[in-house]
Amino acid sequence: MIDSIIQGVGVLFQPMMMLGMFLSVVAGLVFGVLPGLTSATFMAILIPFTWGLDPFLALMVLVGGYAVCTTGGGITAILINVPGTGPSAATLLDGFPLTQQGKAGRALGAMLVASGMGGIEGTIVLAFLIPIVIPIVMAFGSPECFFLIVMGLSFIAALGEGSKIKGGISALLGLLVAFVGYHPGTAFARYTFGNVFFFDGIKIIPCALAMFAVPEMINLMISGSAIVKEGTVSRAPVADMWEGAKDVFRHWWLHIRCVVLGVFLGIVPGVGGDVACWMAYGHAKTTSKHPETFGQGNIEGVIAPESATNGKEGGAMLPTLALGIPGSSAMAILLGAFLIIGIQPGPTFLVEHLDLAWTIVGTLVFANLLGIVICWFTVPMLVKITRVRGHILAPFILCITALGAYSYRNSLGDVFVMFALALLGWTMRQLGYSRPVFFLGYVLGGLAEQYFGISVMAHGWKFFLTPLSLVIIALTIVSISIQPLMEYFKRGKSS
Amino acid sequence: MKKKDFLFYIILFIGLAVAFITTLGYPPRARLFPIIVISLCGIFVLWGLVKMLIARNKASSLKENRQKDEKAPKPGEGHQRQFFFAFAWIGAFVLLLWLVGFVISLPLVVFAYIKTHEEGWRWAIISTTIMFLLVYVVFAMLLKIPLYEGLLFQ
Repeated sequence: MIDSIIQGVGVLFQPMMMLGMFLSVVAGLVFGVLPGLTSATFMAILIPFTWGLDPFLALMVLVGGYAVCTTGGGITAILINVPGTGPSAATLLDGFPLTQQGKAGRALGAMLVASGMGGIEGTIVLAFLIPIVIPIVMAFGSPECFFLIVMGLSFIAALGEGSKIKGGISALLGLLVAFVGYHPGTAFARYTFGNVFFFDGIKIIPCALAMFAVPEMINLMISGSAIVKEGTVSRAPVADMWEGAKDVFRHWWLHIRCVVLGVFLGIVPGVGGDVACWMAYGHAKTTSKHPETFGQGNIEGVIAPESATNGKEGGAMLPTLALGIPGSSAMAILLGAFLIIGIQPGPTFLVEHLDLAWTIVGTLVFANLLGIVICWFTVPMLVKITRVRGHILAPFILCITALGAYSYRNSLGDVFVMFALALLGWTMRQLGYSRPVFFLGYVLGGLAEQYFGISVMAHGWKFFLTPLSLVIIALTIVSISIQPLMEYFKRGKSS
Repeated sequence: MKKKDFLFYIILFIGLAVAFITTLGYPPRARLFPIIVISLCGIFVLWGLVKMLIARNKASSLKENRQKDEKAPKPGEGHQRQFFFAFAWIGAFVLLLWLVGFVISLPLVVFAYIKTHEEGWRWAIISTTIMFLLVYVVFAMLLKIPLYEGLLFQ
């Protein structure tokens, strides 16, 4: 074991390996910053370049860039309200309001440290879980996944603001959008109007851009002013970033909880980062001392999703390495890369290639550290964007959102869908409907239906009677009722 | 705002009714979840409409609303014009994109938008160049993303 660790991690310090990691981390960050280009795209584009390379170097290049993609995605989410990756959509809810208040540096500092440390801690958990992962992964069948999704949906109540009716409508509209396309159980095309383009459903990046980025851009076009209003006092970005970094340590317990949540959701194949970030955000809001400030620039709303999203990456590696089951599209591509290199992931992987497993663990840790350092020196320059006049910035955002929607799967249809949905997003914004709730409904709706269908087919209508399902149901009930109960007892005490 | 809310509820209700009728034609397993969601959403919309109508019928609330309306700053003509301009720009952008593709339309829109909003030549040229480099060099050449070339050039 010790020999494997020394051999696996020692490889990272060879000059060629270090150069490879540096270049892949820079590329990963650039991919994360550009909307529409996900970690899966990063891997798909890089695989041809890794042919013929040493297996250790090839995996380091792929894993290193993958580890920091989500970190890069948070930068544009905070600065211009354009989520670089799907999971970054939760970060912008509080990150962008902080930017508007002239605290972009603070939000970015918190995001970088929460995300980077989340990635490192998630990897450490991965290292400890390697010997016991198989029973954990095998314990999660479709009923347990369904109830995990239901748990995520229960946070809709926490995310909603203002009118309960509008909150409910927002969530249900999101669910309806998720139903567009093939029904997973029957392969029946729904709400496609006979158009082949819709058979594959409405994809997450066009939807996220439509709900959050385009409405903000329309408002920039109308007002013509910069993101940070003139006269807003703000500190130097670097000083502000240190403040943000300290915020993560001030809220260390929230950070740890969200990393654990992320790792746990990462281990469960098919749940993924899009769920982890929203569950973490909902959890942060329900447990915060100031839930009323969420959505208006609460730093906890930045720390929670970023911790969970990057913490998840370590967990997501586990089923891929130990069982050969990819938990996400990026992991499926990594699995392909393993096979190209000539390595067969699965239960025997950890026996035959333990040194390689430790190289992956080491790469995840060092790539995250390197990502923080690179961003720390480059991000302060980007903060200046927030002072650029709306008339100059708005057409830029318009073009970048179009490019982002298109490059997700090279389809012009996604650009049209984005602008059509943006009309709904802008109307919802103006009339006080909750867009985060809509998006949560959209992200979880399709998954809920899919796992429900499989559960009923496999276990009948009593599918909820498995022990782990009952535990998740109990946890969901506790998480829903804890805040109203605490408020009730507080009121009782004060009266 | 009340008028707009009312209009949105009506549009939603019509949309949901159409979706409900469409969904009834699907196989039982494929329609189970959508029917539940549409029905619940319909109930919420009706609830919202009824609440709004009850509030309107209450004389006192009407008075309050009137007072509120009088106090609330109404969006000026300039603001409304900006709003229509923004949507016109987006419409023109989508049309241009469809006709001439990414490499031409994106830098062109950035340049045209900045110039029509009375910004200087310096900003217009810098922004257009950056956009061209981003689209052509980064996306098309480095990342080898097959960018849409436009209806006129295909």
